[in-house]
Amino acid sequence: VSPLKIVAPAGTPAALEAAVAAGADAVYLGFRDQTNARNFPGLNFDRDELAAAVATAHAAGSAVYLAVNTYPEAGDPGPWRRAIDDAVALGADALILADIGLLDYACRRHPGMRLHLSVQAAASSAPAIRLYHEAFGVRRVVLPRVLTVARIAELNAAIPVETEVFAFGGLCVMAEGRCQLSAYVTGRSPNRDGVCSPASHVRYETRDNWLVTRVGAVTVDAFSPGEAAGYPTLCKGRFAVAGGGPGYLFEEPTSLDVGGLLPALMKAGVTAIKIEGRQRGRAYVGRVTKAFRRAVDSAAAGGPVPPLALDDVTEGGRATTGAYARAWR
Amino acid sequence: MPPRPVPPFSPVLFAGLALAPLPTAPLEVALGLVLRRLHARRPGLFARVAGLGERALLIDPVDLPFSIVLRPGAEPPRLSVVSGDGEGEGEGVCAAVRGPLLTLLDLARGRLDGDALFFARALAVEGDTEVVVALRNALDSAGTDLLDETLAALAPAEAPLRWALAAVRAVHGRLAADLASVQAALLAPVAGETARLEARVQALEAVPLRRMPARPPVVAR
Repeated sequence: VSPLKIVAPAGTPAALEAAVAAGADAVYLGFRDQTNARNFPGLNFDRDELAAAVATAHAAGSAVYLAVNTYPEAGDPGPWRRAIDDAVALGADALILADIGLLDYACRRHPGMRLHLSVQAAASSAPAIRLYHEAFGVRRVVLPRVLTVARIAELNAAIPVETEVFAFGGLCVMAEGRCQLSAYVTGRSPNRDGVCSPASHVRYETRDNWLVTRVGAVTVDAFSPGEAAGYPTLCKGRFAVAGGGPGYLFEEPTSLDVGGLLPALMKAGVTAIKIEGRQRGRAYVGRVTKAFRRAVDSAAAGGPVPPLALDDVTEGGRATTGAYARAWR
Repeated sequence: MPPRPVPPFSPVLFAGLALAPLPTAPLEVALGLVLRRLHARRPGLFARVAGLGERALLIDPVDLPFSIVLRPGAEPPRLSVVSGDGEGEGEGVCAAVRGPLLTLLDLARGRLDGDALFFARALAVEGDTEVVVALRNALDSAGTDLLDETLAALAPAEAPLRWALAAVRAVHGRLAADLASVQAALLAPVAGETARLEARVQALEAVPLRRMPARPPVVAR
């Protein structure tokens, strides 16, 4: 059983430095445009910053993965292809892609480049993953957050590529890369524009110490005084249905935390764990990466997994093991 | 604009009460100088918020008697200091961030995560979220301690300011502990009543709900 590699997020050069200093094996990031799924204001890297990030990471023995994981506009793949070409030229170690057109472009144009399949491709079955490997030479797949550990073990036995699974942070319960909720309300989506519930469409209001969250014209949630809040996404909205009181229809505000499952994931043949949160600050990135470094090293040595003690950075003040250890169907 | 959040019972609150009668103009001059020097030293930071243009953000340390109206995307970036919570102040103010001074400082210094503070309701955000998110990301991107940058920007006053800050830090911890004792003493009667009510609620919750009368059995005729 080999130790899990830790893949940490970086929305800024400072976050990358924090991740590397905390012991990340790899850091994933994106360019400052619509070619990646965290196209948030003030976030991400320009070309010069990527070059510096590669130098910083490599000097510390870490790798840099560049996410080009949105879907190009029909008839205008230029920005996405330039992102791929520039990432290769600037020394990125892997590209995280979702669109089959971009996968085709990358494997033909840069045959030696390491390609990872983004979770945005929502590939969760052995035939689908094998197809991506055979057609485009994909070497690692980031699995959707819908599989149990047992199912991941079966999958690893049936596919010729590495798997990477989400370990901590935001949860997405939708078929990723296909969710239309944000586009339905704001006209902009994570799949095409790189933004789910874009900040330009989000408004917070305080009414009698209640926090009211609005996305576009929709009131998504109202948090009572002192109640822990969550991200303003429709999938985590609290709505009244058919005369009933307000409740969470799809998902509650909560963070994924698989600290306790690390030995099981290692046994299941998982290659890498991914920490979600390119939109989070450098304090979060450094702290979460450090906690997982300690936990992974302990698990790899056959020891107990120490408590991660990350409750205070979780969304909604709660954590879950999600589908990995689900007791429901 | 909603009412200002209740500030924490802290030494900063008392310092703010002492500062309240003073004019804000000298502070505005000092902070304006810091902003101009930071702009010169860290152009990359401001490039991240250039798209905001003239949109302004109100930064409200709730335990101090003033707020800052910041236009980080303007060319050059500008700020003004306004009294109180900034209600009705500043043309173009489209968003506000409110929180205790020390929390805002730790955020600017990269010691705390903004999302975690928001989830815990330690920071209140209102209005145009894009302005808040862009500034937060830009500040975080610098990778440096903004307090250090601020002090460096105020050279040649850096050395005496560092000495003064160290002195403040030395007494702040003791003052905070003393105030916590005072707060506990003042709230003791309320705390006792709250505990009594809490126990009563728990006892009531433990009583099973009265069952509805059972439906009569359906009998085939």
